[in-house]
Amino acid sequence: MQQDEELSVVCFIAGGYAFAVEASQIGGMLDTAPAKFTSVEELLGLTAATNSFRRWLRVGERYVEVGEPVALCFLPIGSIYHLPEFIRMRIQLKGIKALAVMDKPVLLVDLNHLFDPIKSPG
Amino acid sequence: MEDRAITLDDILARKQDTAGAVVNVDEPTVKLVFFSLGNAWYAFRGENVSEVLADCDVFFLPGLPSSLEGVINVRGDIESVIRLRTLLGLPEVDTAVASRILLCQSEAMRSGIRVDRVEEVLDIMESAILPPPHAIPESLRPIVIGIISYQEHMIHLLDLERIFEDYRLGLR
Repeated sequence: MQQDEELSVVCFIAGGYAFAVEASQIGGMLDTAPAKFTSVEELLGLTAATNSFRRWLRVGERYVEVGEPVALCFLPIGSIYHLPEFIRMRIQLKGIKALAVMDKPVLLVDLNHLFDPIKSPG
Repeated sequence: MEDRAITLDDILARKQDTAGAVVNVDEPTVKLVFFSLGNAWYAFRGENVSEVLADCDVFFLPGLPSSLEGVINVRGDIESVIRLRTLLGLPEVDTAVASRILLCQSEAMRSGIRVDRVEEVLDIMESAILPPPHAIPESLRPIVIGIISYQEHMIHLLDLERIFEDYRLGLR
C-alpha cells in the first residue's frame, strides 16, 4: 500500500464533531428528509444534534440523518491511524473504526456496523 | 614528644575518621521521574517514561470518559492522554503552564499521562525506596509500590503496569 494513496470518505458533522464514513458505504444523499430515517447521533450514542442543517445519506436500504457540511473527501493513507488502545477500550461511541488526523481529528465510523452489528465485524 | 612531620597517610586517615559513613558506590540504583499533582509528589520508574512532552497539542475526541483528555501526535504516532488527577480521584484544575505529558510505556501498553509538573529525574539507591506505609489512602494502596523521602517530600512511587492494567479493565 503506497503512502500517497487516499481513502475516499464522506465527511459530516455529528453532535458538533467531525466524522467520516467510507464512501463505498454510501449509496446517495437526499436534501429533504425521507419518510423514515435514523439520526447518526442516535446510532453513535452521542447527545442530540447541535446544528440545524441536515442531510440524509443512503446506507443500503436505510437513511441516516447527518449534520452539514457533508462532503466527499480524500484522506491520505498516512493520516489514518488505529485508535490508541485506551481510546478504543474506553470510548463510549459505537462503531468507531479509526482516527484520521489532519489539522483536526476525524473519527472514521462504520455505518454498516451500526445498523447491523452482528453481520459486520466492526 | 617525637617531632614527626605529618604525612599524606596521616591526613587521609584523619579525613576518613571525619567523613562519616562510607557510601557504597556499588549499591544498585534506579532512575526515577519525580512529578507533582498539586502539592503531592509522585514518581514513576524511569524505564516506564520514554519522553517528557511540553507544548503538545491535545486533540479532544467526543465520547471519552473524563479521565481521557484526548490524543496527541508524537512524530507520526497517535497516543492517548490520560489525566492522572482523575485516575487518583483528585479534583481537576486548569492545565498549568508547567504541566507536562509523560509518554509512558508498560510491558504491553503505551499512553501519555498528564501531570501538573515534572520535578526531577534522579538516580536513587534502591535501598532508599521503602515499603508503602499502611496509612496511605485506600485509593492509592493498590498502585503505590514504595515511598521515597527526598528533600522535604514523601514521594509515592507508582506502579505503572498496575495503573494501565486497571485502566484497560475499566477499574479506574
